[in-house]
Amino acid sequence: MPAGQTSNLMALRDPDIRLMLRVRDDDPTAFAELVQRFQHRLIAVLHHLVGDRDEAEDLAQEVFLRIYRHRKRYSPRARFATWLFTIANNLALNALRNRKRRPAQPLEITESGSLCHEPQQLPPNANSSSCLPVKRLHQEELAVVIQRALETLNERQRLAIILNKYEDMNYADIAQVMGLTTKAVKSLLSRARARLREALQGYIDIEDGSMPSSSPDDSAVSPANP
Amino acid sequence: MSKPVPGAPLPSDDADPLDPLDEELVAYLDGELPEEQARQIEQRLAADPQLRRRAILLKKTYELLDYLPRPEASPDFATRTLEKIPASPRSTASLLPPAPAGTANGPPSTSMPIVLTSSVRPALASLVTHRSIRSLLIFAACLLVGGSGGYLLLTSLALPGRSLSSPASSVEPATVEHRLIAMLPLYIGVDDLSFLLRLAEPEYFGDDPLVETAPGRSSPGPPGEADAWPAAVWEQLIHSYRHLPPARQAALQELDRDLFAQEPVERDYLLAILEAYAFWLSNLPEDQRRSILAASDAAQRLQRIRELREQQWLETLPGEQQKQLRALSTPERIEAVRRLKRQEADRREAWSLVRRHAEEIAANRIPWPFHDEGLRRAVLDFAARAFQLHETGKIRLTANESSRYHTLLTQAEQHGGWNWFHYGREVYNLSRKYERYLLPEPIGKPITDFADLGATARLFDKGRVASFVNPHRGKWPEFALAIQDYVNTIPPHERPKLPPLGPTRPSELRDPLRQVVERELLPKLRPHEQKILQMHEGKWPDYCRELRKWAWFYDVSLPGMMLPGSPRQWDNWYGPRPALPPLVPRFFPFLPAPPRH
Repeated sequence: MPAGQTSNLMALRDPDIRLMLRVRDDDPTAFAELVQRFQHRLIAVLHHLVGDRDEAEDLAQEVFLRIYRHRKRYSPRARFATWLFTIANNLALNALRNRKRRPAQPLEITESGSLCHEPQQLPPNANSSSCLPVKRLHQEELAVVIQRALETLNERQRLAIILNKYEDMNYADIAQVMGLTTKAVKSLLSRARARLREALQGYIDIEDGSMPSSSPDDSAVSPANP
Repeated sequence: MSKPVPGAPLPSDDADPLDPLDEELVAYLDGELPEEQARQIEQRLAADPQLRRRAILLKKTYELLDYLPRPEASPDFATRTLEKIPASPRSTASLLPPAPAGTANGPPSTSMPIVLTSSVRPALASLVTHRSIRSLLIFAACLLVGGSGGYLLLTSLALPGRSLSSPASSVEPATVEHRLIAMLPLYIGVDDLSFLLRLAEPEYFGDDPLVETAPGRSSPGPPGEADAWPAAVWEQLIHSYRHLPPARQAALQELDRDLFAQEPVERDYLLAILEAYAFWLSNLPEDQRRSILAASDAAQRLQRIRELREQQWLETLPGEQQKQLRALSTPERIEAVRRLKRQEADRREAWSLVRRHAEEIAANRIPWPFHDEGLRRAVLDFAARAFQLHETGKIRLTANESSRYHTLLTQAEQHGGWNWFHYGREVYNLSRKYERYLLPEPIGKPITDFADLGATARLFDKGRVASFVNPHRGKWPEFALAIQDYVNTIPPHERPKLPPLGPTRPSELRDPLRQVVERELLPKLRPHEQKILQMHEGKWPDYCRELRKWAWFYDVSLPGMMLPGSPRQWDNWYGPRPALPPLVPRFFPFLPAPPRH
């Protein structure tokens, strides 16, 4: 299939690409729609990556402005989200690098930077502590523990994990965002997951030895595990 | 565990030992292993409790991340970001996402609409009816004949540089050029067909009353005979055209060719858009018109048009309302404008209905298709089968819908006349609502119960799936759809191989549907459209839905799947507003539209 047709088909499938093409064509409402559609997702990823809300918002703003500035050169080659997070990744890594060059300043959990003390932002299914998979922990404490565990990862591992978890990206997309091979992503994620397992296994209750499955929690009926 | 301090060395990827088994387990849990390797891991997991524990720990620790709060953007983030966009004169509402259908209104005007006939004749005479020729003449004079100013405006239209794919002279060169010159006043501010298609969107001219009231779509009138450009104007038009830069001439030829390559109904619609646009342009103050025509490219031009339309819309609001809007903060104003536009669209929809059917309502005439005895019976049969009205326990309608349906039908049958319209509207709306179930039965016995699923039945007849599927047992296509919906939630490489749930290629359709598909629909599809359809073969119910999409597109009614009679007529008569023509570029905005023959 010729390249042009591939991108046409891609554009047909991905509503985000269609939106971005409207941005490219200077449809004045399209950019606002784009910002609205992606702001929370982008800031969630950036916040976890840089650990500070204000900085995450500054970076997110820069991501959107870059997209706007480069809109004329846009041509759909991959999912739009992949492109967006590639830009975000580059900007965030630069920012972290610059931060390292500045005199070290401890990254306090400030009110604006806190990732932890906003119980209303917990996922809806986390409301009742009875469904927590851990013993004796309140949600807030658990959030702190998990946040700390995430912070033991280096930024590349952290980004891969966040994209995989929050953005539901597969290895190929993560590889594209981070400029790595799929194989490298596989190793990166495996190291990151092993590290998380180390940091968090004390909080896990393993009540039985049932088969883990890669399908969404329905191993009883999953045809792969009859 | 401590927070990473910026400036401190971060752990490197390579500092951690890489356990190949962990790597496989993680990839397996993420569904990233090829099937063969996944099966091997599963076998090892089944045999090795230690490994199983390791995998479970990996899975559960990862699931813990769900408990992390997801930071969100602060409420003013979007506004702050949009403010940083290099300034351009944008109106308040231009920050809005596109409003739902029914937005910008035209400027208040008491002039008669400019009306074009639907029939295309090579002769200029058939193009413009006498009712509106004056407005067009004024406009043409103003732009073309009015000396160098007008001429400069015309030539200043910047055009995207593109090559012509085929010479304009492939069909009747003289005739085409004649037509093109006659149409020049309408083409003046238009770059190309895709520009025109943008103009047809609701926020430009799609909702313009001139477009809605233009005849020709459902009831084409006879073409005007006597009207023509007066000789002097005609001379000027020719003169103007001949002095256009060659690139602009080529672009106009292409626009003209593209426009007249459309099906008549679509072409008429676009002509109505062109008229509304030209009429609007002709009523603008000189400086505003110049700002549109002299815009540096199509995108800028569209933006300018939209700004002016927005501004005019706001100015049509009562003074008090404008004052209130001004007092609001930006986000509140955006919200308020959106609400007002929604209300306006609703009102317009109601009026549009009355306007379109004024004559029939006044005469209490039986509307299409019920005026035809055969079609009427076909619609009643279709409704009975589609909504399973006579099958106890399987009727698809809710109690309210069912009682409403029967009341309207009784009224129509007893009192006749326009009462059939209300019944038609009900049937139309219900068939849209229950479209999901209007799928053709397979040639053999349809799948309506676990037993029909053969060996795979055991995957579905117990536990959570069963409770999901059970209510649909015994029903076609509900049961099969429920099975398919469930299977879709399973990762692709784990999906069971099901027996065919329904027809997925023409040979699997029953007659008469098969005949209609093979004889009426498929021959109409272009090669690339056939390819798109073929890509859906073997997929159920996707194939059937794709069939319906193309049938609607080509105005073919598929027996049992769609209401009997022309789908476009149904939309025109009973849709909430006149159906937008399903232009190829609109349908697939990113596929090049080959000319139609």
